[in-house]
Amino acid sequence: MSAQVESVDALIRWQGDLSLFRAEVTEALSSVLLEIRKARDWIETELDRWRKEKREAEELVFQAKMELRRKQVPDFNGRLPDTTVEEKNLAKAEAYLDYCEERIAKCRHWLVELPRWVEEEYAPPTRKLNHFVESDLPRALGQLEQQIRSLQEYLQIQTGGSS
Amino acid sequence: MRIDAGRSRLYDAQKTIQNRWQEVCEHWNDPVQKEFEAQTWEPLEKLTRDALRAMDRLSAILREMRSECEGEEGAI
Repeated sequence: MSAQVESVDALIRWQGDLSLFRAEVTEALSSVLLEIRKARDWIETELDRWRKEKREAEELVFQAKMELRRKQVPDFNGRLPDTTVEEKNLAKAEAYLDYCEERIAKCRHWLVELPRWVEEEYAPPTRKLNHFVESDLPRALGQLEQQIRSLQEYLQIQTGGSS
Repeated sequence: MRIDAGRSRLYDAQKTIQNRWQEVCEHWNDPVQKEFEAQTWEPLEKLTRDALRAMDRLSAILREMRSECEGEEGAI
């Protein structure tokens, strides 16, 4: 038996520390996975919100066009009235409609891109860690347990022999 | 949608286990320890570092996604 393990207690503590670390890794990985699921749900919610916002923006564009057309009728002198305000309102409404469409496109993009990114970039290293703590680490802990037992038996024999 | 809690948990666990490894090595120095170091400790440290890096990249991706999708109602 090697005499280079000075403290069996230190090994027992280490065994406990590793078990705790294993539990913490599992919890941390689960917590992040849950946040990834929440992120996907959040995109769906944002997509619905922007679709609704787009419908309202379309209505605003329609109203702004109507206002402009109403104003574009010549007066009794045959002069066209100033439509600067109506034109500005229409441009603003159209710009907001574009903005809503852009947000919808971004949400659709991320609905595809996020799962792809997670699968290709995030999942491989975290799956490896998860696999290690689920299979390799328990095996190592088992070997550690064996060494602790052997040391304890050795120490018992030593104590018994000296008494 | 914040992964900070999970990331912090893993980071803190890594720091703690690194300190504990240093401590146990003061009492444990035999061929079994060397084998454990090569087959378990070193791969575990590397895999944990890789996972933390992946979480950092994920955090950046989620920030980018949020800023692009969230927008501002009535922004214009």
